[in-house]
Parts: sequence; C-alpha cells; structure tokens
Amino acid sequence: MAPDPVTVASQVTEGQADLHPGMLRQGADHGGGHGQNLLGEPSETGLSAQLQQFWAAWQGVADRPDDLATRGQVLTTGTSLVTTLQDARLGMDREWGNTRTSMDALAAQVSTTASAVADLNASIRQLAGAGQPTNELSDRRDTLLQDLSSLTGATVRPVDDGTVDVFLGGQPLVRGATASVLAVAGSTTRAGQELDPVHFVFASGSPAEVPSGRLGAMQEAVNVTLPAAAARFAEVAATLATQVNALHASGQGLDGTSGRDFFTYTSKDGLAMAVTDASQVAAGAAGAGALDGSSADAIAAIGRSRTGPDAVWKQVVVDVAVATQAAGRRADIQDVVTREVDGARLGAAGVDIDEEMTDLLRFQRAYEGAARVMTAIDQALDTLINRTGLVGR
Amino acid sequence: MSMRVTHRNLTETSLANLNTNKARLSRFQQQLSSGKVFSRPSDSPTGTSESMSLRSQLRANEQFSRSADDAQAWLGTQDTALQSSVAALHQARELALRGMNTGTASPQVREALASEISGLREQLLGYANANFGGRPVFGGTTDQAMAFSPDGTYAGDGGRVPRRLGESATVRADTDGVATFGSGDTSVFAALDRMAADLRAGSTTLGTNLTELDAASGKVLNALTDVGTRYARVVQDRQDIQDKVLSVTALLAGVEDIDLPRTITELKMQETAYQAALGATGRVLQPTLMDFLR
Repeated sequence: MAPDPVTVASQVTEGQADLHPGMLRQGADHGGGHGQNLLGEPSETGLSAQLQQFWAAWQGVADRPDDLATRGQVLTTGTSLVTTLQDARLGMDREWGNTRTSMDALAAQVSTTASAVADLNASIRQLAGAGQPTNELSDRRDTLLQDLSSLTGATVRPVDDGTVDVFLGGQPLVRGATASVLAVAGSTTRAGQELDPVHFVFASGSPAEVPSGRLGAMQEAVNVTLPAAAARFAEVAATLATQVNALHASGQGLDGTSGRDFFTYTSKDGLAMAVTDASQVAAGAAGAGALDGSSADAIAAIGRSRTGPDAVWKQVVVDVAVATQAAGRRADIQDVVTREVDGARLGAAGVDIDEEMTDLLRFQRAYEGAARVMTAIDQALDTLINRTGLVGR
Repeated sequence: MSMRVTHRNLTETSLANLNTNKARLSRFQQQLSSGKVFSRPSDSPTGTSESMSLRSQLRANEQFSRSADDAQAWLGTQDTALQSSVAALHQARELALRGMNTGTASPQVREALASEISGLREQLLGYANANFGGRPVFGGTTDQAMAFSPDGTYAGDGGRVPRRLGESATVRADTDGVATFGSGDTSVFAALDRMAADLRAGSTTLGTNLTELDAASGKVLNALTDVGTRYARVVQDRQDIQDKVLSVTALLAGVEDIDLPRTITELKMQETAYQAALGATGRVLQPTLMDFLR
C-alpha cells in the first residue's frame, strides 16, 4: 500500500477506535467483571446468605442461650463470614498483583514495538531517499502503529521524509529513528498503592503518560477501580465488626463476663474472630438472668437494620451491577462505532475480488488488443517484406 | 458514488452479526437451562436488589417460624402444667370442704384428708417445676433446674423469656412463677401446707385457709387464661409467618424464575433468526466474479 499520510491516518483511526471497546471491556472486567465474580450474588451461598445464616444463628441463641451447640452455630457461621470476607480481600490483592505484573509485561511490549517502529522509520527514510518503493515496510509499520495505539492510545504524526513520530500524551515515544523505553513505576502491592500510585516513566527518567488503551485502563484499574472495590468490601467487614461488637460487648457470656468483642477488625489485617469459645458468646444482657437472650436478639436485629452490614453489602452488589451493566453497554455501543470505522477503512483499503477480476479482465483484453496490433504490424511488414518487389520474378 | 463494499467488508459484517445472534441465543439458553432470569448481578441490578431483599425476608421469617415453634412448645408446657394445677387445686378445695363439714370427724379421717392434701401439694410443686428443654418454664431466665425449691420458695430469677415472632413483635414465652404460684409464706404451697396442718390439728381456721386457697387458685387460673391467650396468639402468628414465607417465596420466584413458555418461544425465534443469518451469510460469501467467468 502506498505510504501516503491518508493511509497512516486511517490506520491510526482504526487503532484508536479499537482501543475504546478494549479499554471499556478491560475496565468492566476489572471494576465489575471480576469484582462481580467475587460477589457470588444472588445465590444460596453468597455473602448475603451467609449473613442471614449468621443472624438466624443469633436468633437461635436468643431462643436457646443454654444450649452450647446453638451457641456454637454462631461461631461457625461467624467463621464462614470471616473466611468469605477475607477471601474477597485476598482475591482483590491477587487481582491487583496480577494486573500490576501484566502492566510491566505490556510496558515492555510497548518499548519493543516502539523500537521496531523506529528501526522501520530508519529503513524507510533510507529507501525513500534512494527513490525505492517502501510499501512493504510501511505496511509492517502500520501494523505496529495499530498495536501501539490500542495498547496505549498513542497518536501518530507523519513526517515529510516518510517517517512517523509517535506521541504518548504530549511526550514523544518514537521520533524518527530513536525510540524511548517505557517502564511502570510505583507500588507493587495494593497496600502501598495509596501512598505511591502506579505511574509510568521513560528510561530517561522523565515522567510518561499513557492516555488510554489497555495499559491506560490497567493503570486506572490498579489506581482507582480495584482500590475502590476493595474499600467497599472493607466497609462491609468494618460495619459488621463495629455493630456486632458494640452489642456483644454490652452483653455477657455464660461465665457472666461482659465487654468482649465478637470480631476483631483492622484495615490492615481485615476481619477475624475474637470469640472462640461458645460459652463466651454474649447472649444475655449484662446483669440479667443467666439464660437471658436479649443481647442475642438485639444482635440478630442488626440483620434487619437499614444501616447494617446486609444493607451495605446489598448496596455494594447493586452499585457493582449497575457499573458493570453501564460499562458493558458503553462497550457495546463502542463496538458498533468500531465496526463502522473498520468497515469504512476496509471499504477504502481492502481488496475486492470482483474488482480485481474486472481489472484482470480489462488488462487481459488490453493485452489481447496490444497483441492484435503487433500481429497487424507484423502482417503489414510481412506484406511489405515478402510480397513487394516480386513483379516479374 | 456508492460506498465501496469489498469481500472483507461482507465477511466482517456477517461475522459480527452472527456473533450478536449467537450471544442472544446463548443468553436464552442460559436462562432456560438455569431456570433463572439473571445469573449475574449486572444482568438485572434491580432484580438482584429485589431478590436479595426477598431472600433475607425469607430467611428472617423462617427463623421467626422456628422461634414461634419454640414459643408454642414453651406455652404448651405451661398450659398443661397450669391445667393440671387448677385440677389439683380444685381437688384440694373439695378435700378441704369435706374436712370443714366433717369437723367432728375422727382424727383418722382428718389425717387421711390432710395427707391427701399434702400429696396434692407435692404434685403442684411438680407442675410448678415443669420444664421444657431442661429449663423450668416458670423460672424466668435462671440456669437452675427448678423454679421452686421443695419448701415452696421461688428459685427462679423473675427474668422474661421473649420469643421474636416478627421484626417488631415478640411474645413472652414464660410465665412469672411468683405471680402464678406465689413464693415462700404467701405461696400456694404454703397455703396447702397450712391447710393440711390445720386439718390434722382439727383447727377452726379452716375457713380462712379456704379463702387463702381460693385466692391462690385465682392467680393460677389467671395465669392459665393468660397462657391460653398467648398460645392462641402464637398459633395465629405462626400461621401468618408461614403464609408470609409462602408469599415471599412466590414473589422471589416471580423475580428470579423464567417464564418458561415465553423463554422457550424466544429461544425458538432466536434459533430461527440465527439459522437465517447463517443461511444468508453462506449465500453472500460464496460467489465471486470468478464463479461466473469460465
């Protein structure tokens, strides 16, 4: 294909159209898709079902404060809540770590691609200077530019000598025959992200900006989406611990001791069980009869509260669901736009067999015509050479 | 000039449309095989929210139903104990009357009456110590096995034992032992003791004793009425809770479950659409000018 600026521009247009659905899908995957899988709702086994079992166990203790097995039920369901919330927390950490690792790999890919573009730039400049055709090299470079664009949202500016410059935000990634090396810097753990957000730098040390593309979407995931989702999970755990503990501490266990916490919660380590002995479960109000169950009844009522962990959790699920749905819709719309742009590009640049066949026939006919002219001239010469001047021979 | 359409164009468009059709087909298939309208929250955020609320209502009501069963058992135990107590007190009253009328009766007869009354007192103490699941139903929140010690003193703690039958509804599952049987000197047991002693001694204060016994019986009878009222309420509430469980289950099914005939019809329609798309694609993609130039 001819390396004219129009083609380059159309390639880049395609690249940019491509990156949006990719980015949104990525965003949907990180913010909602994976988060949504972590939710496990609606089901008979998800967190809300476990919360309900927990409250039912407390109501059971309110009915049978004397029964150790019933009290044990509170510990069992509480432990399963802790496990689920901690698993979700670890899942977030893992997800964060995986995305962070992928970012390193993708940044390396961007750097290699950029250096390949720079090499092709050099070759093209040389060939173009010598007046040689550069079509094949330009096609190869166009493919690479498309990759760069969908990875990072890079913009391309053609230069008169046949080379192209590639920019990330305002910074040059490729200029003529030289390419910069892109790297990811910042925290490598989710815990450290808040103080040291993940960002990009060039090997030269100057800061880099990746405006969009897969890499941009991943940066948003590790800096915004995943920490926000983790914070919502933490909110559920914190609400659960605070509200249960407040009532639990005011109640007394079978041993008559009050003031115990049921859960421990720290933002660093998350949720854990504080009570491990069934007789320490505070079912009764402090100072009431030995088999009072009013404290357990009050704790069970947290499950019906509009500000309790159940309500917080429901809000998390609905928010994630709405966000995922919206992202999915935006991606669908962008898919359509991409298809249109791709269609236009294919319409302009693609090969059509019918067209090629007609051309082929046209040239074949022209060839036949030319051949016929040759025959005519040949015949005329034949007449001249062989048939003239033979009178009287 | 009309837009240039290449074979690549046709292929890409056909593929995209086929994919869209297939995605729709798979959605209906998933609905049909799972029986649920949505399998992920993003399929229907409102549906998810509603389903979560209904599920938690369902769980809560199931628990209320269990608590109601428990309350019913507690109150049933008290009902039986109090009915027997009333019967025993009636019997004691009759014996006392006989002792009064036969004021001149022989000491042997009076002794027989007195020991019968003492026997009734022991029976009554047994009823007052009735327990359910190891807990004395007249003892409040005590962790002791007895609500009344053998001398008729209240050994419970007077605490209340409520059972939750609804978000804001509780019912008292126990009965105040002191209000029903009294305690110590003022207890129904002490009244029976005094009556037996007076009968043995041939005392003339039997009339006072009888008034005392009647007053004590009145308290037991009141308690019986109260327990009966609460029992009836628990039965009614339990029925209501079970109705609620059924209606919530139905609502949940309405939110979560698919409309089978509709989904099957839609799946069939989608299948037809997919086949049509496949057919059209097959037709459009095959021929080129090459097929017609020989």
